[in-house]
Amino acid sequence: MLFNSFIFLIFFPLVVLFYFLIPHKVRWFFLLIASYYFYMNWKPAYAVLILTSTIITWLCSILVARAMNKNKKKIYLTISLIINFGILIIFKYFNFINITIFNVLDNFKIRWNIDNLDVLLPVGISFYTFQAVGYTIDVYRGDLKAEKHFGIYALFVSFFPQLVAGPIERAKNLLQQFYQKHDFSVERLENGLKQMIWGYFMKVVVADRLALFVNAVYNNVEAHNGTTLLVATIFFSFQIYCDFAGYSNIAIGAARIMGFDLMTNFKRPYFSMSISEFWHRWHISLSTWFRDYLYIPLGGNKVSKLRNYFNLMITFIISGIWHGANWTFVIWGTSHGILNAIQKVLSYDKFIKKYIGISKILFIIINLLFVNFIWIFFRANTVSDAFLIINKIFTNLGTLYIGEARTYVYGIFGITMIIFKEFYEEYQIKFSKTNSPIVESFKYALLVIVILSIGVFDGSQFIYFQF
Amino acid sequence: MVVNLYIFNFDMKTNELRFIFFFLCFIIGLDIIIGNLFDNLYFSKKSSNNDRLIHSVLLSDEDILIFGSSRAQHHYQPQIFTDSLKMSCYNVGNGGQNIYYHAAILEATLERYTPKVAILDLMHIDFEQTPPQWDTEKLGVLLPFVNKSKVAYRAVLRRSKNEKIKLISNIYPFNSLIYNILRNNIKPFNKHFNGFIPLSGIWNEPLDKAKTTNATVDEKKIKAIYDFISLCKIKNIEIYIFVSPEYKHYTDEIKTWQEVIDEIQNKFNIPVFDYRSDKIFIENNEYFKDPMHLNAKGAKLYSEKVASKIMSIQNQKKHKEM
Repeated sequence: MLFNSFIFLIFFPLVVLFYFLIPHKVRWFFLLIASYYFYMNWKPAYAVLILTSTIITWLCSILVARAMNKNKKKIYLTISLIINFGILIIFKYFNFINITIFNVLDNFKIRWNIDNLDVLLPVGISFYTFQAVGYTIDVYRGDLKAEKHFGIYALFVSFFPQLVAGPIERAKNLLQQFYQKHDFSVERLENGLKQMIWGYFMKVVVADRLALFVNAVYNNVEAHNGTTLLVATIFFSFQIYCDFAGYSNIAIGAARIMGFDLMTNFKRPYFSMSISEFWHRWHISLSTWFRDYLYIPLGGNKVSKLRNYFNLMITFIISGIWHGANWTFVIWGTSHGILNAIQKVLSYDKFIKKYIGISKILFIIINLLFVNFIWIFFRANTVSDAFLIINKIFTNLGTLYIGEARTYVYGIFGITMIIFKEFYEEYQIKFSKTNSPIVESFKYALLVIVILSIGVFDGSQFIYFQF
Repeated sequence: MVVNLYIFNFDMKTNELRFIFFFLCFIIGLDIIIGNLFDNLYFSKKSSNNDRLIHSVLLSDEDILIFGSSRAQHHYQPQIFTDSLKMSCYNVGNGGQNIYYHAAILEATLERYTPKVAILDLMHIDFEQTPPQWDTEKLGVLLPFVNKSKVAYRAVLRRSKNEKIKLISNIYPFNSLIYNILRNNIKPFNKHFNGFIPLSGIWNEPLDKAKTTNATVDEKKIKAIYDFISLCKIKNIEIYIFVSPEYKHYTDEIKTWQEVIDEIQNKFNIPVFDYRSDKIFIENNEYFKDPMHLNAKGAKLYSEKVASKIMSIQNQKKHKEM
């Protein structure tokens, strides 16, 4: 079920209503059923995968907690990791690996005759796998007690607001919230509703509108000149941000209405002044996951400089692969790793601090250019497309392809709104000291009217669902 | 006042509750005001495509109506038909549309009057299975007409089962149209001639060698085509079916197409004229804007051919009657 589908607009209020109407004791069960229903709206069979992942991680964590010696703990953890990442590899990466092996061996005239798998990628598999695996590692490290209640744990893995595209929650934050009794709160309803409305604005007004232009251009790279490709790339930067941050806002807002606090996933990433700052603001739940469960275990920055750069590169390359089974994502992740490492070598963050007084905006623009440029690899359908785009941007400028003028008008309007809102939030500028409920309600009602007027209601997928 | 139900426990005087109350009031109020404003603005200035749409759904009174997608819209010059057949003519074709739209326009027309001749330009999206956005979803173009035409309302309901609920909103029918509405009101312009929109430019690429795939036939669409023809026959409208030229050389047997055409001819005993691989067109790229669309020069030649074909059939009929 998509957040931007009509059925969700019926499903969610009903879930909230019943959630608060039924006794606290059975709420977990109700949410679990609702979450599985939500997920099974895509393809019911894939609920088996999420259930498998839940059972394995729950059982292994219990065994890890009960194991008396470290070796046994390690064995149970390894079993959990192998099965979970095994499922992920089979469904997400098998064909990519298979084709890569075929191409490599083909260069040596060796035949590789294994057929690709004809399976659809289960929605959100990377998200719930990482969430479940993160929990097992926490138990193994002794940071968390193993959850004995299977139902509550199953709800933790499948909690519908953040099930398919995050935030990738930590058990430490979310699990205990399922035990707490949440009373209906109008304050939470207001705050959650506001965040959801803003999320919908980001998704259906900005991201889906820009997608119409970006898809038309990026899916036909050969036919467009550098100017059009440049504009499409800039638009894509906003599209992906609004698509993903929009989803996170809806997820966090929906959870908040029901009394749950999910972690912040985005903090105005395009106001970053360096690549490392960007990763402290972009998809925070994933970047902190990689930090805690990969980068730090590899040694983090408590090692030699060379080893530290190596750790950085590994983390970013795997982060790239996490996003998709395509070399474009590998290059995207690697590029971020390289830029991050270069900025570390140059002590760029110190340089920024020293000269921040001169022009903060200049650093922001420079960083935005880097991030924007690297997005080309993320969006391009193939690596050769990406290089063709870059080549055209630098060598083949021309007349801008307009297509439908309204796409530009609505898209640029949406981008302007996003920039203004984030600018005011970033610099904590307030129009008035008091928040009159009438003014506030008018603002958000107007936002709903804008969504109704210029939103794209084609029920398009969220980009991150494919990851 | 404090409301203290089993689970709902809150102070009615809180700002949060006021927010919810005013929020709902503002949404309802703004939706009514802005929705009606859009409605007035949409129908007040007829310009460009909304002029064609308004005429097609609500105002047409011509003897000949031309139905079809962009290929109809850009290929049939009404003036040529008027001159040759001595009947008024309007091109109600609409880009990207399929048989569901053509059928809705025919029904809307029949609510007001009965045209004498209907020309239906068929293309593959009229009978093949297509992605949802090329299917009934396309009927969304009729949303602004839901309060003005019962046929448009019924057609729009076919888009999805939730359409009725969505139509509670007054703004929803004008979704994404605000730019066009404002532009039409600020600077109205018309670039069509009785519905015909000429295309400029010449296709200079080599002839496409297209392989026709045996696409899956959509039975619902086939039924819609049959219903369209049946309705014309019931109402005594002369119906002619044409397939416009394409700048493509088909290298294999066109099974799906041929089956559909044969079936129509057998079932209704009406002629279907297939100009897709017509030599005059396929050997002259100067008639094309792109492989699927004729430019103004090509449209003129094609319209003359179609008009002459219809004239000869009408003459034959007259001879028989005499």
